Amino acid sequence: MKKIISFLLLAVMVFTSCVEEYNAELPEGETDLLVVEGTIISDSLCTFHLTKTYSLNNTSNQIPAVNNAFVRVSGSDGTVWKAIAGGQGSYSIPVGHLNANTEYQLEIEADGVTYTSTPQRPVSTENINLSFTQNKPEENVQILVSTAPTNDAGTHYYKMYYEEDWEVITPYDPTYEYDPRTDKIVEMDYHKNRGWIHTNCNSIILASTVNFSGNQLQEAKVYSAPIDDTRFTTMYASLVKVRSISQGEYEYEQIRAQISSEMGGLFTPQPSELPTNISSSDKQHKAIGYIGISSNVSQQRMFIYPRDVNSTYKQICDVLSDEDLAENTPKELYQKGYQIGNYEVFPTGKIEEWTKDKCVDARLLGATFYRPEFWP
Amino acid sequence: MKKIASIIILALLPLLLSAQNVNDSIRAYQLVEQLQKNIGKKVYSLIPDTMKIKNPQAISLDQVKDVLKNTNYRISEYNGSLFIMPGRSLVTDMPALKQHKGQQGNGESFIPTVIAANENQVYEIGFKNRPSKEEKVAIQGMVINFLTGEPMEGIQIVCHDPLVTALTGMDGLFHMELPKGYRTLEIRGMDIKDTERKFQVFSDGIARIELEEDERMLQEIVIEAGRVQSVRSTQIGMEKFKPALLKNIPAALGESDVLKMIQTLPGVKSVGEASSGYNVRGGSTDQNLILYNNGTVYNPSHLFGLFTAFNSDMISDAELYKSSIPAQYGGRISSVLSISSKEANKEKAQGSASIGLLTSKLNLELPIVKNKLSLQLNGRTTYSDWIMKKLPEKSGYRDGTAGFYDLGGVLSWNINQHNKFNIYGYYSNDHFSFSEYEKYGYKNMNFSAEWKSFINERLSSAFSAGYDHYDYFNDKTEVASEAARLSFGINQFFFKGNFNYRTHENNLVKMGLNSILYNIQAGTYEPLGISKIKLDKLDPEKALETAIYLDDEWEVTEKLSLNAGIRLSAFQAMGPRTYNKYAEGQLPSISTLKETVTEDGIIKNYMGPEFRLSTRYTIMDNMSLKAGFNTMRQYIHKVSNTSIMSPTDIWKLSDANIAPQKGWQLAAGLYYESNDRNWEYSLETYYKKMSDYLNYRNSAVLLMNHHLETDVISTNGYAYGVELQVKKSYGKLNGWASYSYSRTFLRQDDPRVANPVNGGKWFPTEYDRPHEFKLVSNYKFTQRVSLSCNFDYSTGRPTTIPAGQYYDYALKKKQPYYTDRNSYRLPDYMRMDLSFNLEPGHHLTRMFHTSFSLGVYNVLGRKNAYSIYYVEEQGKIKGYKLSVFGAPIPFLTVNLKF
Repeated sequence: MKKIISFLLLAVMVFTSCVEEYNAELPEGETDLLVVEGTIISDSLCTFHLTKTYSLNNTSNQIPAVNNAFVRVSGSDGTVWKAIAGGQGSYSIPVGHLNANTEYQLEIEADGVTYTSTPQRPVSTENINLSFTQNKPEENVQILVSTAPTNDAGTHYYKMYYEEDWEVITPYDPTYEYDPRTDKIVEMDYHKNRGWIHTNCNSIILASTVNFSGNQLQEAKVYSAPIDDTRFTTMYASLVKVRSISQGEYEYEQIRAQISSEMGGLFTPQPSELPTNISSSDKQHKAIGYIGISSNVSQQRMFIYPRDVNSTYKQICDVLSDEDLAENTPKELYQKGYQIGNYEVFPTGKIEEWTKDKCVDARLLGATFYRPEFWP
Repeated sequence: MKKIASIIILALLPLLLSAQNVNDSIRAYQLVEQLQKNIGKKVYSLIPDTMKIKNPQAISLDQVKDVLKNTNYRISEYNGSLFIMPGRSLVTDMPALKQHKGQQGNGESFIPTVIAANENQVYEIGFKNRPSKEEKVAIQGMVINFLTGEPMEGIQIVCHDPLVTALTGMDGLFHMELPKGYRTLEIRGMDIKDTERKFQVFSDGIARIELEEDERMLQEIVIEAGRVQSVRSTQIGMEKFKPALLKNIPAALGESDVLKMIQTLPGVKSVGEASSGYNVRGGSTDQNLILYNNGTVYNPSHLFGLFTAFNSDMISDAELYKSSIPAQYGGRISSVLSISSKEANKEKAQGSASIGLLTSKLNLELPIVKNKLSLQLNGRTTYSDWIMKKLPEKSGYRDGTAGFYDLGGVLSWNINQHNKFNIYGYYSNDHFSFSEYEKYGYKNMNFSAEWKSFINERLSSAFSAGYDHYDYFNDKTEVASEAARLSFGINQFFFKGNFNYRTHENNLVKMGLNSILYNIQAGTYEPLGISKIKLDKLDPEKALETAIYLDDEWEVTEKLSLNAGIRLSAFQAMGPRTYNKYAEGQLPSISTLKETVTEDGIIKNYMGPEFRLSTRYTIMDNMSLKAGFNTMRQYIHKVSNTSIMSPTDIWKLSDANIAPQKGWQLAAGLYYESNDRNWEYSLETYYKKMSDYLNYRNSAVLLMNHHLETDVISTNGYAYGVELQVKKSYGKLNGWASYSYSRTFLRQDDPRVANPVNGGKWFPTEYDRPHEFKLVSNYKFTQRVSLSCNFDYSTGRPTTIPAGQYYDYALKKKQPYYTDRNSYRLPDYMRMDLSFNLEPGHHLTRMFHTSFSLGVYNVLGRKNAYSIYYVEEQGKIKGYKLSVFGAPIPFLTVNLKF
């Protein structure tokens, strides 16, 4: 009789996978391709950036702009809007009204080569409606977008963009401050405890109606706003812009997003060529970019108040002890990151409280004193 | 019997000692020797070390019987030998001669059967008093496991004078014609020691050869079996192995893995470590058919490929066909891996268990009716969440949880000597999550029944039928309004009927029918909770794949063998189904859509012959030349744009718009074994073509696509290579080494494709590794102590790198961009693993036997690249290298046998 019991022991198991920088010399690929960025939007000043691709081995920060190009938007009905060069490869075109039944394209003449984008009809965007939700008190706030119903049966594709603004107010609103230039405590003629922070979206956000009932976005996620910073301590505003795009542009942006962030994983597909809709007249010169054409951009701003969401941001603003004050001069305290939180002078004495500078000055939390025009 | 013969007498018998004079004492071995000398018979004894006996020099059998009559020792006689055993007599009433298949009478129809269990005995075949008038007589044979009564497949029977060879089939049967007279048959194979049986051949007869397994020989035996196959058979590119071999092969995480084992063979590659799936001779991962007890396994991995889905404790053997694929197999164009389950011991209950840091296993072997009915049960589970924390952040799984379990069972019923019925079951379940809001899971299920019948000495049959299932789901619930479950499932019923008919001593005909009824739930996307997602369901895909085959193995002369087979496969895609029709001659796309139709019944028929040809020419006794050609068709395709098998892969059947993949392979090989039969050399070369291989365009929508054909780009491919292998079978140093040079390319050359990959030029696949060297070796310092070493070197695989960079104004950063696919190679891959093995001692009376394997995976600590990628950081495009196993990984395996 033979019985086996085997014990698998992984002694001193060290699972040491790693990611490390890879600095191999790469062969020179196909460079000097024209890069075109911009979108044709009805009734707007459209800006296009024209640059060239360059070698990976080129570590210069100088962007190879294309400055001597002729750029224009033309329509199949003979309409033409010409660009005004703005330098550094920037071209602005005051595009008029785009007719829904007319095909438009971008034309570029650069270095003797003519590039054109595929003629397309403008795509219109429905009105949008914003909302937000927070699944659990410890989770981030999700900003959601819904689009208005449409009679169009085909799948709708969208590219989205957002801007955030929020107000920050520090716990202390002093009337005196330490002036490091004069090394004196002086009375203030302004308030520095209140400010506004503004950020822009720096990622590619795409959505489609393919999975939604009614062929419309219904509370589709735009982004998650973190709750562990100052965003939801006072008032928060979210501006979401949505633009309908073609399926081709959607696929281009998908690959662009993948190249931008989703690389190298075990199950990540290999990167692929960007499916441009810009071609050259001689078919030899390649270009990167996808020129989308839109009738409009829908946008909406939404305010969120602290009572509506749970914020986990905690700011510790203890005041320094009398011993600390006695042992340090105001200059030393300032240099160590402390500022006056409260300062009052009485005939019989004074109250002097120092606390962390971020508890006093909103600018040190990333804010400016510029109050947005739309702020209520 | 051999075991009894080899027992060494250990203990004393006090009763005997007390009655005898000290001067008359005799040592046990002296007694045996003297008794053998005096009576002229072989004596096997278990009596004590020393016994007292008068006049030991003249000892007789009666004297011994007299001495033992008052003890519990009994003397038995069997086949002319004496057995002295405690407690019982040896059962010797097993008929030496019996009627075959119940035939009555004393006429010519009576075929005597001899049971040959001892290599020292000369057995008689046929009628001694009525020897055949023919010079040659027919021997029908069956090789069985002495302990379990199971037939043993793949055992090589060799008669050297004259040279006649035979190989046992799935029922342990073999057939050979021998000249009358004294013949010695050499017997070699997996799990057994080399042995022989001696026969005095008089006339036609049946020999039942009983063998005993010996696990300690596994390392050598596997290699030996390979040699027999490669030199004698007509098969090219076939490997057969036992998973028990794995115990001496160092493995990542210390877990035996049959799929990793096959990757040590030449011609089998993988994209990288910890990746599921393998590539055989330039084929993609979905072009490999993986059969488990005849059922198809679609996802053979646990934990993203870190473990195979097959518990090594439940595997009996595995066969990999990478070139000459027998006509009985089909459905994939690259390879077939057929894995068979172990059957339980039918005599005694036994089992095994293991507890580890990653997995625990339990294996039970339960005889229900002795020698008739047994049940094998096994299970494995893991508690591996902690390993996720160790994965690289870039892998995307670091914050996840994961777990799996698998269960297997085999009910084995030996109906009688000629019929056998087995029921197999297998179930595996995987679940993992990246977070609370993103969960994945998949499971495999296979249930089948198989009836094997030895109808007569010329005809045998095997019928199997079963049900295979694979399903997969992915829940995403982070955004309540978009919470949804994506699910997919394959259900298939299969029937296989195979017949082997030996028309002549040198000719074996195989024929049969295979049929698979597919029912694929092609995809469901359903809302969860308060989700605003709409329910979307792809039409179920139903199809019937049927094939009939005929295969003939013909030994034309002693030197020339031919194997010719034809397989006629047919595929009917069935409705009801709604599908698109496109403009004639145009690529499927929305712009070429003509109409959408809904049809019932058969909506598309595909049919075609597949040819399997191979031949072997024996140049010398120990050298042969082979060539083969085979064509294959594949009607089911993996829908994935990754080069490895991922846990989210789904499969699609051919239909009105997606044609079956087709491939053919031409191969040739030269095989030589040294005169001392210790070394074997082989050289194989092949050329392979693939067409209608499915490749997907950039940005293809792979999931929930109602018209996948619009995202498919038909691709052609070819591969070629040379594989050199050296095997050493015996001696302190044994193992194999191989070098292969191989290339594999794809091309999208359809002129209708607007922007084909790499401009429509040939480009290397992601598993194109031209140079590859593999070494699997074991050095035995003593019978118990050995050192194993694996070495693996290969050219780095192709990958896609940026052609350059540009500034993205919208993202306000530099971006890489890509043009040509697979234009660059990762750094070369090199890995060495070592393990030190201590085998159990030979003290058979000891209750426990302990063995150890202490090893290090990737002992060189080399950070082999799994991938390189480029991202923008701090204003620069930076390259990064991802290594899965970036350091030496030590492991210790402890086995206790009792």
